[in-house]
Amino acid sequence: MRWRRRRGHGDSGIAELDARLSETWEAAAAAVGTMLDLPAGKEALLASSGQLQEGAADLRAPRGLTGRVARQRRRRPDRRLVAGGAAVLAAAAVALAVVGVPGPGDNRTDGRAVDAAYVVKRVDNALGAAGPGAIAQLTVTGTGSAATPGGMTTAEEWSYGAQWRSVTSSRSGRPVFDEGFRTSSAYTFVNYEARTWARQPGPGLRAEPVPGSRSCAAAVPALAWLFQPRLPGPRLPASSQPSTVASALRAAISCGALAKAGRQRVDGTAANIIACDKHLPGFAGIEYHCNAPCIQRFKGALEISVGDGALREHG
Amino acid sequence: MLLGDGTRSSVAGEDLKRVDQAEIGTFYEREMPRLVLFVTIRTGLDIHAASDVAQAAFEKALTRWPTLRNPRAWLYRVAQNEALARCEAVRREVPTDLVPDRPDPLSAALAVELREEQREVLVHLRGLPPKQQQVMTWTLAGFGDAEIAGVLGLSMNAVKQSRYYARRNLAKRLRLAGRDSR
Repeated sequence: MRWRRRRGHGDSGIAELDARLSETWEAAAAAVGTMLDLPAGKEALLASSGQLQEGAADLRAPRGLTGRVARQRRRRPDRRLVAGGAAVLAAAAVALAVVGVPGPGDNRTDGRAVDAAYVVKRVDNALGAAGPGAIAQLTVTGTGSAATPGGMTTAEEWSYGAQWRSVTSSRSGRPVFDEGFRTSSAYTFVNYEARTWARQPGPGLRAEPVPGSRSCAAAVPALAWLFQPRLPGPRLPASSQPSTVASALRAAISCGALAKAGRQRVDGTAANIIACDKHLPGFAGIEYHCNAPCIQRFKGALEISVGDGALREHG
Repeated sequence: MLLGDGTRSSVAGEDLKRVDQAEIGTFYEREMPRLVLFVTIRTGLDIHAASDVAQAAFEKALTRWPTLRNPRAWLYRVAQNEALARCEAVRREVPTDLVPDRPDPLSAALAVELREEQREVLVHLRGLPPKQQQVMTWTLAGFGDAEIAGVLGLSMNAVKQSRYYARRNLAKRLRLAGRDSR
């Protein structure tokens, strides 16, 4: 510690305080050091340095772009983006519209560049507001279901905020169930065995605030759905629906029900690899810290196609 | 990258090659645990979330490493801001989430590693009023008055005053006799 101490009344107590603070800080830092995988973190950091070298070498923006963006931003009202998935999707859609579909009469290349830079920044802001941990991908291996009695099933699950999709496959890789919830198409369920599909509005039962103590004792049992080969659906009670899978994963880690196995880059995106303990042998999770391309990839994975004629509407 | 008007917002490929990887690696190994602890105490994030924030701050720092006059202060400030933003985003994002209780304000894993009296110190440090806690945490992280004042946008006197009250409060809570703690 660098602060200077003036000697005087009570000096011995302050000296003791300083000593305890210093000792505690060093001990806590050392303890944190034992909990972190420093070599892996260093390796990831230096690897990102290598990627930056490759990626940055040819990056040159047109002259004057900064000034034009700054002027453009001054002209526009400074509005804070609404947090949450809706803002992210809207901003991403705007970005796509501006970057990918320029107007028919717009031949000003510089103008498009300014708009694109501006909107991409807005997308970044929206993604930041949505929380970097709102995306998760899970693989859950189960011991079978009513449709596949006695057989192993594997469910691949994607979650982005409150939107999610789960594809359950048999041991041979044949899809058995496909279900998910998107704000645009509501809850969709596909039974490949029966070749039927069904849709209903809403994510099933509406999630309500859970009354009573918010403790690990309440949170961990509520995570049971994570370890079943499907995500929240109509049959789950409202109290067992965490608002996002990613936050449920974080809660489980905080409570010690799951362990974080490490951190690495998955397809160029920083991700937490979440492992289970011995009681959950079939579970593996990844929590993504997504950038804009990663978000686009996830959004694609959330869509269920039921209009190809091979399926009939249930009931 | 070089921007259109010649200003430099981050480091281009050639400059990045000149960054000493061994130096950064050593810096990372030395500072990472301290930065994670700093973020945890400052914001209340658990160790895992704090380590994510710290790692992201390192990655950001790397892109502008040669241009940073005080990389350490920059790193801590970015990590702090990122952690506070994350706390705020999570608060807005998950109003019905099952957030577990924290029987101990510290991470459970960290609490296990520390002795009872050390846990008590950190708990009381976390429990200080915001500005006092802010100044005290920056002080414990090894920053001087001028650096703290610069980073937090305070005057030197305000830093000293906040630290005085912080130490007085801590001494009182830890039942240590201390009055002259400036």
